Amino acid sequence: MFNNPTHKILIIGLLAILFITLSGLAVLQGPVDIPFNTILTILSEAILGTHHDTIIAWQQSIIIDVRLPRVLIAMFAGASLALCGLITQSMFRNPLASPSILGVSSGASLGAVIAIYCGASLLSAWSIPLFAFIGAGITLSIVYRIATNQGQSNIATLLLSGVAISALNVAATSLLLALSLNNWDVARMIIYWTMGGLDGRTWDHVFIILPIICSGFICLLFYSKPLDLLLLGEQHALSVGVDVKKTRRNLLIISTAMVGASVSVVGGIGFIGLVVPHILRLILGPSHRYLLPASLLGGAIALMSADLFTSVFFKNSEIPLGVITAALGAPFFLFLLIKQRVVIN
Amino acid sequence: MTDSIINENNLKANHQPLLSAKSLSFSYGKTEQLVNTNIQAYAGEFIGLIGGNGVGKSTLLQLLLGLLTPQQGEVLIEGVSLNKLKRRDIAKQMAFVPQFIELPFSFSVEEVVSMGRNPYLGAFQLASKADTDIVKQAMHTTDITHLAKRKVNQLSGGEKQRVIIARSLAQQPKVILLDEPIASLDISHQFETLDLIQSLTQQNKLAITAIHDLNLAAQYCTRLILLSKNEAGKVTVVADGKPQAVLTAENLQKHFNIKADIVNTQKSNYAEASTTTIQLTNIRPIKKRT
Repeated sequence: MFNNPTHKILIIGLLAILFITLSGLAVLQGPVDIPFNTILTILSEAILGTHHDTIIAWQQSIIIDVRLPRVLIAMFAGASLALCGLITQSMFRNPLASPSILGVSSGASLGAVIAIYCGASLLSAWSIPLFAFIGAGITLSIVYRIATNQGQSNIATLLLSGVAISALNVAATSLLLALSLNNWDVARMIIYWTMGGLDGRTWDHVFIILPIICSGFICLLFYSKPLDLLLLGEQHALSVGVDVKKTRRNLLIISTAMVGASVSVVGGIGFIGLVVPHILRLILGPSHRYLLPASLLGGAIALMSADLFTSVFFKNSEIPLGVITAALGAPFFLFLLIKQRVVIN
Repeated sequence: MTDSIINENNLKANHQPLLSAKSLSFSYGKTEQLVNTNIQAYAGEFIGLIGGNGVGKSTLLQLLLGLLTPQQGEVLIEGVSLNKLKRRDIAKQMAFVPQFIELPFSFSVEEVVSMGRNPYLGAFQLASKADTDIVKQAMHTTDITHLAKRKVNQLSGGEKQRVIIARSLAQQPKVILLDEPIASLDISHQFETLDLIQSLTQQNKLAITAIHDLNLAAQYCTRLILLSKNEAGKVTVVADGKPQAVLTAENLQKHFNIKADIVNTQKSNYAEASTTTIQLTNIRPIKKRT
């Protein structure tokens, strides 16, 4: 761990450089080879509005309509998953908490699967996000209401009811999948969607996720100090002037919106929300002044590199992104479990 | 002579209590914890909250802090109901030292003590010179300056206790509530902590502390409040006053199930020799007839 604030800022700077490099690489890299110069011309035309006659339409379309939205979505979804992981871990003072433990992710998934099952997803790109939000919101309000008695929310109850509701959501998702098996197109869509991925994402998806993640991150900046205080416990935070009930409620709403947004766009991508903030906390210490920007960058880096990894090493096999993040994240999760005592409460 | 006594009485009567609880009732679900509890506490008092295990001392402290909301009644600080105040404004007046101090994350001692300045700082505002001076002073008072750069999760129980008390001091509160601050300390640190709290009350702060050791309570506290079941079997304040008025043979027998010889002594830490208190010796349990 680095104690010197200058070192911490340096590390965040390094993350920023890595972030920029990776996003550049991700635009350059793809199943179709397009020369570097052409890509620069296409981008300069898109950004500066200069006109070039040399641009080939299909190449332009690949860069602007396929690769760019893909990179942006990986960026924003990764960032939001890591941020949500960070705030749930801090709020529940549990280094192994994540949005999926509260059932929010599975709620969002169920909503999205309902949208696919009843055909709403064919009507508009917005229907999956909308249903995912509703699913996440309903799940969170049920979990929160069960755990809150007379304005006091018990954290153990919150986590346990999250696990229970999550199981219910997963069961409902499987039921819908089973019911749709006689219609292979729908079933395939559901299966592929629940595995999570970035294929076929468009600018519509970018515009769904962009405003939510940006406004969510800005809101979170205001909670940097309260999050530090909550880490030391409810009584501590309350004693030094944090309105714990209100803060916790607002943080839950922000994280639901962000999880809903990212799940609706990239599907079920696990372990980034768990692992990224955890590693960063080991490096930078517990202060959210550094952890918030670092998680934003770290989450984006993690998902972009997972995507890059997939496209470089499994070029033609179409392995879903969720499989890669889980395959890399799960062993790490187990490592943490073995190394650290699980503190619930 | 008579005039001055009348004046003093008038002063007390007109003087607003710093912290008061008005007919507080609280229950967890259907289990009643506290019923119709009234307390008026004034600046400069060192109040010991005594009573058996599970009688609701912590609950009362949490109600006074506003961590729990009473079903009936209200808590007033300088005559203003807690419900009407923002948490930040309450934190400028009242600090709390919880019983179980878990500090699992690796903040430094200095960082934790600085958190006491939170109610005075905006969301993005950094600590000023004045703030850091207050933090340094708080660490000096609690004798943890040498620990400033250490991580709180590597400290011993007694050190953590002092860190949290320092954090409370950094809040510059008028009231400090402590939940059994000496329960996990060795005997010399028990004295140190109580000396520290006493010096704060001598600077006209109000301290209310839950405490199990009746002798230390009698030695240090200017006033004791005994929480126990009343005749109707409901938990409330059953005795409130100077140690010698609360720790009577009858109360010890009835509410603590013990017998003891009660000896008059001097309060060692006070300069005025006239301050007397009591000491319990030969404490023995009352054997229950089966």
